[in-house]
Amino acid sequence: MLDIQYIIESLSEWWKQLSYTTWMYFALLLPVTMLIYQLFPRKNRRFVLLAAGWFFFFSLSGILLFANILSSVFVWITGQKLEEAGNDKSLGRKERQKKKKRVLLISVLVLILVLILFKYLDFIGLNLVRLTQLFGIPFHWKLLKLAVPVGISYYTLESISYLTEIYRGNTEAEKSLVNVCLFMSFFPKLVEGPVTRFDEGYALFSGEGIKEENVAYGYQRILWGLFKKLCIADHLSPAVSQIFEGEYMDGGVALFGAFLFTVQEYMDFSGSIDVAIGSAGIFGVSLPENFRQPFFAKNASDFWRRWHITLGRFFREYIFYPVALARPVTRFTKKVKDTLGKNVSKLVTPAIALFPVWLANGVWHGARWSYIFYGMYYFVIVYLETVLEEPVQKLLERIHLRERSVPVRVFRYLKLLIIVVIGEMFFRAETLSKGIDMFKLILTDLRFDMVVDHIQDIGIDRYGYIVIIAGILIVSFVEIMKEAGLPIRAGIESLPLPCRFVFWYACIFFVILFGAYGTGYDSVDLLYAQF
Amino acid sequence: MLSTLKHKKAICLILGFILLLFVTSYFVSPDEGEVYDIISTRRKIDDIHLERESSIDVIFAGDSLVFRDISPLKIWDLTGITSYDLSDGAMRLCDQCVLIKNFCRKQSPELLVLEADIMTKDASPFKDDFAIPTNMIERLFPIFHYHTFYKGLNLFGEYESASGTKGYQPEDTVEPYEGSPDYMTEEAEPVEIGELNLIYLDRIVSFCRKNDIDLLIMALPSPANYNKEVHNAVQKWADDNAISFADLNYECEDIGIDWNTDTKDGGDHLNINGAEKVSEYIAGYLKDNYDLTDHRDDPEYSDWKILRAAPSE
Repeated sequence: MLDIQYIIESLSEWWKQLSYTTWMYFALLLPVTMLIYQLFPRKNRRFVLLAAGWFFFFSLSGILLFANILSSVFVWITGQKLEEAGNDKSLGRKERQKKKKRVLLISVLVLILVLILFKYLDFIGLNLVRLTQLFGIPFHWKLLKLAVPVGISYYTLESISYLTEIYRGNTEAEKSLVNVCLFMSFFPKLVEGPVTRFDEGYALFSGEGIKEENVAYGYQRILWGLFKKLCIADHLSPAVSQIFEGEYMDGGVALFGAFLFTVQEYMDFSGSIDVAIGSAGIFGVSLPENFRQPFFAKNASDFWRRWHITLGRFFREYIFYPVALARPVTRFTKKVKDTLGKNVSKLVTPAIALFPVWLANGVWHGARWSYIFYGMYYFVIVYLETVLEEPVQKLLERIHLRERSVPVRVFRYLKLLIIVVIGEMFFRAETLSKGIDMFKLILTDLRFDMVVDHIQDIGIDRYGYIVIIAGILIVSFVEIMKEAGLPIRAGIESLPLPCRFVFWYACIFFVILFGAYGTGYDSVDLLYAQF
Repeated sequence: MLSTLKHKKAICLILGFILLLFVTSYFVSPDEGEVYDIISTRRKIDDIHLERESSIDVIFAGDSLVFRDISPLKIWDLTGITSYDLSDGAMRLCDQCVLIKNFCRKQSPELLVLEADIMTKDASPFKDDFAIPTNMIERLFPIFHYHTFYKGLNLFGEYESASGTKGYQPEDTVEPYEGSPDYMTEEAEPVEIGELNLIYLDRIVSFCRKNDIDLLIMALPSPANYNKEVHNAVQKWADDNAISFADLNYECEDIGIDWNTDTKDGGDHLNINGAEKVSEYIAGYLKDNYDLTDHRDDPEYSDWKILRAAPSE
């Protein structure tokens, strides 16, 4: 006899596991949404996507769905207010601008305060306690341990972007509340982004029918994402955890762990973005790319133009340029130029504009000093790269080395790899002091005997290593092709039909057979879902 | 026209995929039923088949307590009874059922000793019992459930057969148990044998009755896994099913267990010292309570004598 209560309890437990790489997503959410979406009349299809987004949100964050809905309503209202302020004929141009600025500042402040409330309040409280202790002032903080609504860091940035674009006159305020809610909770980008601009989400509202080529493209992209996540990232996960959470370590183990985590994070994050882009593509929505062969970058600045692109774009458009072009900054730079000379002034503006960008980058990742340090680490590196660019060029000319010569490229690549791997080590370390300890070990105790001796005891078996290495080689091959501008997908499509079938079956079965899921593997949460 | 052609291609692709799922599932599924850990089950099955046909009289089944605590060669030394440790780490009842059935294809044991620890632990062939839809998919296409089957093929020779010690895996590490020696009389949380466990236990009982195999439930000394409530739960099941139950946790003094020297991990498993003592006790128990043949003078069992002479333990 069917035990209905058991089935309901089981389903409610099961759907808490909803993630882009679970059966819940592939067997239920995505196909059912596709089916209902297609069955609905065109004008009502956005409601289907909205319901799917809210279902996804509710399954992960429960009642906190209301935080998302309230934020959406708030953004919708303030968007209208911004537009009204801009069209207020009773005011002069300057006053209109002032009013718009006021509305924007207040609304951005509210959104950031909500983000702080959920994500940073305990961190601020605890650090206030430490600070007041230094001065002997009695101050206590009771930990709130608030649950964080899924994707709040992403949709807060999207809201700020939407309102700022209205303020700048680049986009009109959306009249439909449903559309704003849908933009803020579109399920493929809900958990890990990419951080999307409102104009990139217009296709969401058109209700256009699902096309066969979109389904094929979408599932191919999803498969690629699953390959990266299940066959590489999740195989690496136990080893990374053991190394970073283990007691015994030398410099070699620390460096090896940092390298493994760098690979894991790239495969995990870019893989889940592939799933997001593929899923959105099925509904005709082109989400922006978040990764563009980051390990082909020529320096750290270039790396960040290829890694988490949409986050970098947000900081560039809404922090870097506004700060660099702000009147007080330009005035100050001019003053420095007049008094201390052109060369010194060249050092000033990047420092002033880059500092808040990287501070925000660190803080955005979470309430931990190690994240703030991570942001500052890149601030120093990117700043040094910016100010040293010219002297380095001159030095290269002097020693008769071309920028594209092999030694220079090899040196640059190794430099980038070290910068990224060390950065990721600080990022992954549980605390800043643990990260610093690991860094010290790399500098003072760099030997690899422990790595060689224990390579089989860190949670990856021989099969795991083979799959990881094969996976990395496949991803590298694809990235080389993409970097060279060779159309891989078109190449596959030009194959005869039986070869194409064999190719796709081989890809699917590679993931089925060698993916780290099911018995013997712990399911690994998406790494960037926590941010 | 073009659209219809595209549709046909898509349908062919999907049907082909489903067919491949069925075909691969057929080849990777164990014949005897669903298992949780395909890797250890496959490896154990390979090991079982190394045994000479109809040569084992007693099966010791269970989880890691069995292969750490019972030495079949010691029992042979003392009684001439042939036995085998049919167990693996954290083995579940579902896997055990499959192994017992497989074992009995070539062997005709007279007694099955089921270690009780396995009775109260998770028995499901699935990782998350509540994930009903996931489990349905895995049941429909077992390739998703058994996708790591290739690791059980021992392609790189990474699995060392325990056939030379008849499944026993001795360990000489010593980590004393520092808890109370009265662990079997202290208060503990009530324990219940799960519904799924009962189903698998029923299957084992039926299988034994059908194949004329005596069934004995035995609890090996382990403060980490046993207490009064576990004993009571197992005793109740044994009484309900009219099956003998020997709880060696109450016999530690008679056996001579010294918790300072005889355990490898603080009272979870026994080490080689403890295993020798327990095996000696079991040898006596089997001799006193069952009419099992002493094969020591039987020339057909010279392979056991050779094994005993080899320094494998």
